[in-house]
Amino acid sequence: MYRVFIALRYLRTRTTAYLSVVAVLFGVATLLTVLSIMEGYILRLQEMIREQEADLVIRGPDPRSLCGFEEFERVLTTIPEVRGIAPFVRCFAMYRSGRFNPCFMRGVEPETELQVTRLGNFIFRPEELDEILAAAKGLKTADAFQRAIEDQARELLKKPERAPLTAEEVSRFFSLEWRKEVFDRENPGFRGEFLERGAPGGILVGVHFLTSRNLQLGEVVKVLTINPKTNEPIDGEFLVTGAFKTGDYEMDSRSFFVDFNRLTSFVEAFDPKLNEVCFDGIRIAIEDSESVERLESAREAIRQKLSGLPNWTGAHFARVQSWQDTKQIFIKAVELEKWIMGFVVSLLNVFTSCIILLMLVLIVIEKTRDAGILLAVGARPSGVFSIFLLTGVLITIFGIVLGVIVGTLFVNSINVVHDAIYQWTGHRLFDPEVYLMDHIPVHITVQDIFFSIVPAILFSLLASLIPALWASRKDPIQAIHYE
Amino acid sequence: MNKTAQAPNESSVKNNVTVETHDLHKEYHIEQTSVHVLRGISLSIKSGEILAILGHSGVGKSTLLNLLGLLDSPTQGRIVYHGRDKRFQNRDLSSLSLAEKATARNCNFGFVFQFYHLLPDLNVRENVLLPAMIRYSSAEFRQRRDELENRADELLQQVGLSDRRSFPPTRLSGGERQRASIARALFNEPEIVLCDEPTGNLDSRTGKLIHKLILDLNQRTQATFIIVTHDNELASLAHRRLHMDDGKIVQE
Repeated sequence: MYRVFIALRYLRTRTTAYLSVVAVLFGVATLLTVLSIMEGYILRLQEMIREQEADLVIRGPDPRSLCGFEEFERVLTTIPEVRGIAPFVRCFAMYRSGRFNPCFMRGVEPETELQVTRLGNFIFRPEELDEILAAAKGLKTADAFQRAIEDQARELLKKPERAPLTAEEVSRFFSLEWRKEVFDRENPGFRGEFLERGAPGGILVGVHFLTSRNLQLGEVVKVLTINPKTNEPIDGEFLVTGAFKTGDYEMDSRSFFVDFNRLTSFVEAFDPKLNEVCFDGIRIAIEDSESVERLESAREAIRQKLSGLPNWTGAHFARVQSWQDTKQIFIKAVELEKWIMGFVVSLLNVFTSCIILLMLVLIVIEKTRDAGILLAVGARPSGVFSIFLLTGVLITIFGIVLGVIVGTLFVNSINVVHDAIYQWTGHRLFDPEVYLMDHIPVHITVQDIFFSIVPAILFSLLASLIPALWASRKDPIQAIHYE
Repeated sequence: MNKTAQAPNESSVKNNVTVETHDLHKEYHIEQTSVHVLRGISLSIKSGEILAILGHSGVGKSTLLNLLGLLDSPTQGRIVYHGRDKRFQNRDLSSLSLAEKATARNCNFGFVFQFYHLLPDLNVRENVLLPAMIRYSSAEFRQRRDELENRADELLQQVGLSDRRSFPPTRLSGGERQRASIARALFNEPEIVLCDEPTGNLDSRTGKLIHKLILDLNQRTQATFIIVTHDNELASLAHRRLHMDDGKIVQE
């Protein structure tokens, strides 16, 4: 009874106790913030990967090492779990816009691609793109222009009523009619020259290209790549016909989506000996893909079917990967980084516990006579020990409760704080070029709250033990007469 | 309250011995020097008596009081208890464990110090309740809260501090603080109240009030009062007086 009562009285009247509570609060809130950001980052990474990757992917060992898509289609569509398949081709290239810059060209068939990935969610309709560009019209500084475009693009994608683009809508971006219309509209000085310039193929570019890479809608872009079989350079021209935003900074700032046939033609993927077009891989959608068992059984079935395909298709050397296989190591690395950072930040609690230790030592010195009186009135040494231990524990409890509340509030408003700092100073603390995301992702879990408070409890207990033991071992007679 | 104390009433003294000491010795070792403070103290203390221990500074009065109050252990000798508490009857109190000594101090002994020693973070009533807070568990205390608080109020009334119950000790005068500490000492109805120079820090007028209070409470509670004092007036009111010199009882 008296232990908690006296401990609370000791705390109530001491400013240093409040400072210690603030120190614990700071330690817990910081650790919770770090863990929540890292957890949010991991979840957002997984989400982004999931949105862009199909359930399973068949990949050839080299670029364009799979040939004869019809052969694959024939066997894969017989597997009951397979919901859709889409071939793809990719190539690393350099595009010229003033100077040469690197990019990834991704060739997709809109009709099949939309069955296996959520590409339709990320591409802007022409009127949406007009709206985005209108938001930035008249802005002089590059920063303001970029921010206006990104904010408008993000807002548009967030709208719950927004329907993903259909395959027909996506195909239209690559159609001759649309390409001509865009060229004529955006290049009024060269009206009618579209066909004369070889009717360049349409490309969809990430919104970042429109903000920072100096590409414009309707611009003809010169692209240079290498044929991996002959090592000969290949060059060609493409026309910017639309834009997309996945939220994955790397994707949005480095990738062009191109029509599958146009890209295979550009990279000279047609094999005259086989009389077949070669490609990089096939994306596959599986029914009920969240079930690990179903995914694995589909993977096994696909492997078996591939082994039955003729050698010239390249299927024997192909790998069947799930979306986790492709990014698992990266996600694991980020998870490891989360715990390493958590460990380092938890060392803040050492500093906090030092404050508690010093404060309790001061209280023990100040209350030495109290300890003697309590022992004389009948308290056991363990009772005196408990009073001083409880003083530390109560500080920790108050600090933890407040730390979790403050940490949660801060985590939930971190993007508002970040934007305010950015607007004030012009510096981005969370640079999307570095972190691949355009806003700070956060996610608070019970586990992270638990791991935020455990170090505070452990270190504070340790810090409280020493003064508490010291107080309980005092000789009552000397303590009573302590001046 | 009368300012002059009456002579003690012998009727409060019973024939039964409440505690006795046998050949008590206490030796302190300070660095490499040995100080023999008590040199064979044997005495019997009767239930309900007021015993005054007199002597010059450094003769071992307070040390004897600390040994009797189980705040310290003798180097040699025994302190045998013959009081009401069956847990400790006929046992050598100096050989009890730390926990048993704490229980004995809480239930059977009350302490009144020269400098009052109230806890400054508690108000007067809470200070008086402190022995009960230590004695009872939280559940028991909550259950008996009204009864215990009534007792605290009753004791505060007896010592004339009813109107000061919610005051912090720092706002009381010396005499009031000493009266509060006497109320605290008596809360658990101890058989023995140990007073270490209870009037040593008070002016003579306030000291007389404390004399009167001790006599009054001795009559009312039948508690044994062992008082270490230099105050001859207080000593003259005791049933018995022991004079100490050089660690021994030289005159009774």
